[in-house]
Amino acid sequence: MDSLLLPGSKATLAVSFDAATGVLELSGQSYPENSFAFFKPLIDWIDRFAREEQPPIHLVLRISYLNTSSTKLVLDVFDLLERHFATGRDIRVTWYYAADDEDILETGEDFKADLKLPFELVAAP
Amino acid sequence: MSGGGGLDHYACYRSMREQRIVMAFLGSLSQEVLVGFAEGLRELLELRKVGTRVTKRVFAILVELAQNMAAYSTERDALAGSGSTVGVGLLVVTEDEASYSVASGNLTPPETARAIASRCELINAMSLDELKGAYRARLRRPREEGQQTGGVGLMQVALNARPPLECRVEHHDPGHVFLVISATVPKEKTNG
Repeated sequence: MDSLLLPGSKATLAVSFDAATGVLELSGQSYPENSFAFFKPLIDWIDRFAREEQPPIHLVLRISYLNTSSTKLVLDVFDLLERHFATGRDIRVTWYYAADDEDILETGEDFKADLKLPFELVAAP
Repeated sequence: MSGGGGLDHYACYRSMREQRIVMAFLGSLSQEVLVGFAEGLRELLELRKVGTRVTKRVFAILVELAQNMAAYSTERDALAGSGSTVGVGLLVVTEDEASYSVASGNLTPPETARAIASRCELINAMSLDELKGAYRARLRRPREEGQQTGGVGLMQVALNARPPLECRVEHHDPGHVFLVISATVPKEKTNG
């Protein structure tokens, strides 16, 4: 299947989902007018990739801000990954946070607390 | 007489300065305007070197209150080129020696104002840990039909602010009231 690449904007995340390597990267900040409309194609792509393709999935997040509705949709992404992980799919997550940004570290810790899949918190240089 | 329908612009400017308004907006809050205001505010706080945490918290409160207002204000303008409308209202960022405050003000039906005021009361009655727990639980609750994330947005505002979250009605008209929600972020000592 094709990779999914979106450049990102002030209010939307940059998306780089590489179908060849299984490295799925989201970066930037998210406060679109309609979070569901932005995240739905991403969630559909991940679900299809998890079902149809072989490479392990490595979700890499370099997020500096999520508004409330985006936070809810990132939770939906994690729910989906957790379901595939439970069926034996090889999946891991890396959450990068700026070293001076305790709030984003705490957001990552909150996400990690819900999940059984490997979830690594890394201070970005 | 100059333009502006008799408005005394200088009195308006002086009054805003005396209230220590850092940035203010009145009008239709399209997504483009919201992004411009929010990014302009962030740039201003970064230039003032108030620190990452204060900058991001003020920014987050502004975005949440502004998107709330864009969605729920009963005063609405048609959006060019689409069938949708956009909320009209007031956004004000003020400061004093110790803090920044962000406020939204817009017209809303009295029953909506009462519902939001009671949510604010519930939030203000919680400890920080209770509020964090309630926020996490609400985010993980399945979506209800037609239900937006307004309530959980207020919790996020409160988590980014120093208590209490303020919610008050400043004017009553037949059928609607002017609802103000405001939140304050303390300044921090920085090395910048």
